Amino acid sequence: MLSTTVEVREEEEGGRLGTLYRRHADRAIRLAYLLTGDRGLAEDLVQDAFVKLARRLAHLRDPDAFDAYLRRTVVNLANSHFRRKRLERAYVERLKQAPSPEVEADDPGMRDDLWRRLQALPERQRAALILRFYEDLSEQRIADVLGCRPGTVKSLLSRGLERLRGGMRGE
Amino acid sequence: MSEMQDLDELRELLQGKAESLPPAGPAPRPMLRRARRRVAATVTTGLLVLAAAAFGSYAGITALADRPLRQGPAGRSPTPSVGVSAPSPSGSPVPPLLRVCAADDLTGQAELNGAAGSQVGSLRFLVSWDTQCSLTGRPTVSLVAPDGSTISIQTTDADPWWKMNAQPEPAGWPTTVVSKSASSVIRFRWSNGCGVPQGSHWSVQLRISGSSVAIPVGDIPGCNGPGSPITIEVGPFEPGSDATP
Repeated sequence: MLSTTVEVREEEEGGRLGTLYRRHADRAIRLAYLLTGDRGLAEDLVQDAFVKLARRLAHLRDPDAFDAYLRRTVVNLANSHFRRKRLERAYVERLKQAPSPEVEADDPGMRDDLWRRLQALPERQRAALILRFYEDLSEQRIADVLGCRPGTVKSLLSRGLERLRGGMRGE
Repeated sequence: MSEMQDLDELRELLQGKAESLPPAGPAPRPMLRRARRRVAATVTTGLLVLAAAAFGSYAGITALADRPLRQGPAGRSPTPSVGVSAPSPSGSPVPPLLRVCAADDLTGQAELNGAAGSQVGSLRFLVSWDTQCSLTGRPTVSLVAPDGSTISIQTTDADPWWKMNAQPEPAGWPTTVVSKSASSVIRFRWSNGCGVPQGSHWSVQLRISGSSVAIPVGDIPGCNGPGSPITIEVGPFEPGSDATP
């Protein structure tokens, strides 16, 4: 999990951010990679997340909450990325009248059918599955991250798994 | 394939994919620079907002001080109350929230008696319509030529009349109430009238409202010698009924 204890020290913000990055970046990049299927993009998103959180460090009352903030920020940035990408794709399709691929063709995950199907899921279903089965978060905590109700999380998980299984059975 | 197998397969896939990534390494310098810029921008924005809020408050208070609370006759613009509690010159109670006088409320007149090189007396302030307001402290007085230019003068503080005359401190002082039945004065002395053109006026700037009352200078004292500074002595506002000699 992203959980690590963050020691609040009287350091320059950059130094403190650097320390936090060393402690949390690995986990955050992995989460972002699972969400996006793109390693470069995952690193960019995590850096953006750290930059976003930098100005809040001074006001962070509970240092243990940093990983939760970071997780939520990474998921939100990934969702924003997909929203932007959808808009761009719609624009390009209007211009070229040709569909664009769901996942980058050079992504090594393309070799794996389950991985490909996971990446092809709607982003909220995919995020719910990753938070549940990679981060091992409860439905309540997933709901906190995604900003929805636990019932919605249950539904996202159920539909996501259904689609994955459908694919695995040769849908 | 059972459901458990599906979930295990999914877990293994996620774990395997995540662990296929190399360690992140130290924080990239461009990211730290961006973060520092962002923090700096946030701090700067915060300071600008604070400065704007402070300026807005100041401007608001100043505007309130000059704005009418209730409409006076012929479009007079009285100022709002600012929580001054002041008894009248006679010591009778006045409303606890008495508004501060603005220039529009007042008419001023110079009551100075001439001597060779100086004039001594009071600048008196009366309400110019049926209202009641308060004056407090020592105003800033400047000398303005008919063409609007300010004439250089030296100002020193003077004691009020009541102190000069060894009288008891008036009730409510240093706040004085101006109404139809009560005026307010400041003790005033003007020495040396070198180069002061006829038609000049005193501009008495009220401290809280910031507005100024214009009072014609009247007689100009003689010149004590070219190069001698024009000096004035200005006392604080005090009740104008019986305090002056």
